[in-house]
Amino acid sequence: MLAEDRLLSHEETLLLLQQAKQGVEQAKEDLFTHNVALVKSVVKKFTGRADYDDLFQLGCMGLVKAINNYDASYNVRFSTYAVPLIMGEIRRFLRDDGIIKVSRPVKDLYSKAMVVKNKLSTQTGVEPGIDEIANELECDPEDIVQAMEAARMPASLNAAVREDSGNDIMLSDCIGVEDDSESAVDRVMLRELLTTLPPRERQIIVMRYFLEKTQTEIARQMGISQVQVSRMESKIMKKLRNAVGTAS
Amino acid sequence: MLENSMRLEFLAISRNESFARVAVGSFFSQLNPTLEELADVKTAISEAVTNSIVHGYKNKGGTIIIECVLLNKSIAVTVQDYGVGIENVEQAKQPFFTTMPGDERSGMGFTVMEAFMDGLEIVSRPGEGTTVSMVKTVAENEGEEEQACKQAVRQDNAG
Repeated sequence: MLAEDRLLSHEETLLLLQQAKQGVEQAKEDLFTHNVALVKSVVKKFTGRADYDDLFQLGCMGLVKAINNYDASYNVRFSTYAVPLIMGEIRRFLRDDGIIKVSRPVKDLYSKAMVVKNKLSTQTGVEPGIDEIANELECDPEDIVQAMEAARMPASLNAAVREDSGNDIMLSDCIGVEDDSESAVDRVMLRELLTTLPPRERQIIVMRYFLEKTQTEIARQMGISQVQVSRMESKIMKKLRNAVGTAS
Repeated sequence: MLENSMRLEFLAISRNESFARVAVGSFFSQLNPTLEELADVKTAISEAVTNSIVHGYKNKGGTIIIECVLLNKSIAVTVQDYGVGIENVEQAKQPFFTTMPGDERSGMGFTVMEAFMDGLEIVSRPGEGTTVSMVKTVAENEGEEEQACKQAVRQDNAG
């Protein structure tokens, strides 16, 4: 085991990364331990904007991503590659800080539960049960159920909130912005928000994501064109991404 | 083998929809579901309760009774009202079908319940009321060893 405070040379890092890619757990651990200082220095830039432990945890997730995804052909130092990923995790989390007036402990618990859920999923490869999440947060599962309820916002309230100009309202890191597929949309949030959609939009989302119908099939059933269905679907997904959640 | 049951009786107003979701969700959480499975159950409850409020009682109020039983890894829920009932259950289950045409309803209530739960039964008598029964089973997601560890941790926390 390498001494924790020793800086790794580029060559040593590359070797460990190669081993990590091959699944050597010790290599992953060493990489992580030797780069935790990176996380700390990035987190320092965001102090005051959120709880330190939350930021640190997110930063670590970014570091783990970097370790898993780094490719030797990138031709940059590992730290150069890792820092944007670490920052990215933190930025996404902060960008989601909505202006929802929910009591702070409840809001915190919901966002913490989502962070823990993602962390445990990444770590174990399977979706955690609510017990595992509650255990990590040292609360009762029932408290989490209550906190999740606070994440639901009725569609009408969204409109009122959006009228506040200048407020950057973004959804939690649970809903991706990269593409329109369901995998990028957190399945938990999709269900929570389903009951708040207006009728036409609900029909389309249920048919597309839970009955897995094609746009053409939906068009036929609704008596509209496939192009119209496609446009409405994009609009709805965009709306869901901008929907206000307690997020962080 | 886990065995538990509860019964809730409340006023059929939309204000109580959230309460019903959280109550059933909390009860269901005893089976250690994933957050997704939890959201499934809460959403199905929303749909059933809304049906009773809007269709069963035509928004004029009444009583809804929810009963839940936990058995091993499953929850069985019944949502019952004493409202107008459903004339044609098969027709009601079809996506898009609604007895309130116009732009107000999506006609997706039963479709959502069926999609999110592992079983759905509807018993109804026009003029007397409707009972919706649903089952959800949590997926096997851990081995005996993990379960034993969790049990030990739980006992530790409780002690």
